[in-house]
Amino acid sequence: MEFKKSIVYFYTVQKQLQIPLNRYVYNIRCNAIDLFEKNKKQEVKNYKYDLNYTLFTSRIKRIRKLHLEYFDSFRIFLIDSIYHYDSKISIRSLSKAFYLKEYALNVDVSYEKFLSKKRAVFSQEGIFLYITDGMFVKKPIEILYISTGTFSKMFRTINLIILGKGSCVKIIELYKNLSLGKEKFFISSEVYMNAYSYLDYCKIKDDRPTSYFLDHSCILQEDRSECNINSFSFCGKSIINFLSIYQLGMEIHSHINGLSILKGHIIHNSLIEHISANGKSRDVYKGIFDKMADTTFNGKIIVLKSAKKTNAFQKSSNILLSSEVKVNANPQLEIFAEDVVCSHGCIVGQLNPQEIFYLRSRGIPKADAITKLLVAFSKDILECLFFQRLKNLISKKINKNVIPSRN
Amino acid sequence: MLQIENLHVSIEEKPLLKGINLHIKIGETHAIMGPNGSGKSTLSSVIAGKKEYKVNTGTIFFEGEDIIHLSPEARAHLGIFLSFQYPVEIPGVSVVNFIRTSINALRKARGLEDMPRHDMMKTIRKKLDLFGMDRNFLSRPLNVGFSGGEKKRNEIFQMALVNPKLSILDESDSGLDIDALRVISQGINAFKSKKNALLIITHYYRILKYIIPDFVHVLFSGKMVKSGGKKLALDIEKNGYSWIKQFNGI
Repeated sequence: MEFKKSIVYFYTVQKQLQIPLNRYVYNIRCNAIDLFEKNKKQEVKNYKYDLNYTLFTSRIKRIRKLHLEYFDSFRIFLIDSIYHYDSKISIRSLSKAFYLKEYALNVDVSYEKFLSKKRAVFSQEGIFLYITDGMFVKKPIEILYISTGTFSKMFRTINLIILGKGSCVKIIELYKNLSLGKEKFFISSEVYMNAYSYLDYCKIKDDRPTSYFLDHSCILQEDRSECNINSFSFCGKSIINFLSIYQLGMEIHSHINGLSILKGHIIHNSLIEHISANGKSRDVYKGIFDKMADTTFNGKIIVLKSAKKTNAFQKSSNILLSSEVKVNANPQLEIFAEDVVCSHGCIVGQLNPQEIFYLRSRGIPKADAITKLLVAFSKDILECLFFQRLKNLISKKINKNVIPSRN
Repeated sequence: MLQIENLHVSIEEKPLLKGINLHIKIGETHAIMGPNGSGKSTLSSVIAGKKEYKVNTGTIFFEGEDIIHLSPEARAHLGIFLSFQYPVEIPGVSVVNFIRTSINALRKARGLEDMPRHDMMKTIRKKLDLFGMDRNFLSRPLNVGFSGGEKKRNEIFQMALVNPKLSILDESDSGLDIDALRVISQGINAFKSKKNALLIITHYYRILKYIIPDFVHVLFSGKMVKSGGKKLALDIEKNGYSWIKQFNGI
C-alpha cells in the first residue's frame, strides 16, 4: 500500500505542476499499477538493476544552452517528455494519437498487445510514429530528448513506432540535459515492424557525466523485415540499456551493434528471440572502459523449436584500460530447435603490448598509439552506420572519448 | 653510429644477453647470425627500446647519445628502425593510414609540419612501384590476412618510406620464397647508402648473397663469439653452428 500511496501523492504533485494528463493513458497506468502490485515480487526481481532515485525535483533556476549537431533530418523535440504538435510532419504525441480515427486502431492493437504492462506504471507521454505501407522516409527522423530538470524524474517517456508493410525509416535518438543537476532520462520505445519493413535505429547517449539513462526498447518483427540497432554510450553517470527483439515471422534479419566508451556504470541487457524459421541475428557489443567503470553485459539469444535454420551470432568484446574496471559478461544461448547455426563469445582483456610497441617503434607516441588502437577496435561498429554525417559525428565522439586517462 | 658496450640483458631474472659489444659505423652493413634462442631478436628489441627486457649493465650509444633510457618512439625519432620478425596484425588501421601517421609523427619530432596529403600519396605510390606492389595494398588493414612474404615486404616498404639512419632487419628473410627474397633484397639494396647503416639478423647465408655485409658476427648463448667478414657467413653455411661451438670450445 505504501507504493500506491506514493503514486497517488505523485499525481497530486503532477496536477499542481499542470502536466497534461490523458485519460486513456491514465487508465492504462492504473491497470498497470494493479498488475504491478499483484506481481510485486517478480517485478522487484526484474528491476534489480534500477537505481534508487528521488521521485520529485524542484524547479531549477538556470539552464544550459542547447548545442545541436546538424543533420538533414526531421527533428522532434521531447522537452521533459512532452511533445508539442507540429503540423508539418505526420508525427503525433502518443496521447493525441489515441483520439485520431486513422491511428486509433493501430495504437489500440499495438499498445494493448505489446506494450509491457510494467512499463506503463510510470508512463507519461511520448511520440507515436506511424510509417504507412510502402513509405520510404528519405531523411532520418531525429528524436531529441531534452530535460530541463523542471518536472518529475519519475515518469518515463513512452514511444510507439509502427512501420507499415514495405516501409523504410531511419531514426536517431539523442539526449540533452539542460539542467545543472543530476538529470535522468527514462525512455521506453515499442517498435512494431510489419512485413518487408526496414528500420535503422541509432541511439547516442553522450550527455553530461552526471546524467542517468534507462532505455528500454522492444522490437517486434514480422516476415522478412530487417532492423539495425546501433547503440552508442559515451558519457553518463549510469546507463542501463534493455533491448528485446522478437522475430515473429520468417526470414527476419536483426542486427545489434553497441559501442561503449565509458568511465562510469553501464548495463546492457539484450534479448533476441527467434520464433520462426530462417531468421538471422547478429548481436555485437564492444566496450572500452577506463578508471572505475563497472559494466555488465547480459546477452541472450533464444531459438524456439519452430525456428529452424536460424543463424545467430552474439559477441561481447571489452578492453580494460585500468586495473579497477569491473566487467561482467554473460552471453547466453538457449536453443530448442535443430538444424541451426548459433555461436556466442566474450572477450575481456587489455591492449596487446606488442601492438603498442610496434606502433611506438614507428615513432608514434604512446598515447597516440593507444588511441589509434582503440579507434581501430571500434571501427567495425562505425561501418554499420547508415549515413556519412552520422559516421563523422560518432567518429569525432570516439576520438574525443577514447583518450586514455593516464599516459 | 651505434656503439654497444658490455650489454647484459635479462627477463624475469633469466639472463639473455651476456656482455654484447657491437660497433656500427655509418654506411656499414653488419650481419648477426646465430642458432635459435641465441638472443638475436632480444638484441634487436633492446636496441629498439622494448621495455619488457631489463638492461642490467652496459651502454647503448646512438650518434653519441645514450639511448638506454629513451622510449621506443624517441629512438625512432633519432633514426632507428626495427623491421619485425613477426609484424603484428592490426585490424581497423589501413596500411596507408598507419604509414601517414608514422611519417607525420617523425616529422613532428623534427619540428616539421605534417606532410600534405597529396605529397604523401605521391611519395607512397612511388615507393610502391619500386617494390612492385599493388595499389590496393594500401587500403588493406595492416598485416591482416597478409602472407608471410607480404608482411616482410610491408616492413621493408615502411623502412624505405621512413628513411631511417639505422635499420635493424630481424629475420626479414624467414618464410620467404626465392623470388620474394630477391625482391626484398633489391629493395634493401636500393635503400642502402653511405648515409645509413644496416644490421641484418638472420639464421641463413641466403639473404647475405644479395645484401653483401661488411661484417658478420656470430651470437651464441647471449654472447658474441666470433666476428669476421663475409667469408664467416659462408663458413657457417658450410659447417653449421656446431662448428662455432668447437671453434670456441663451448
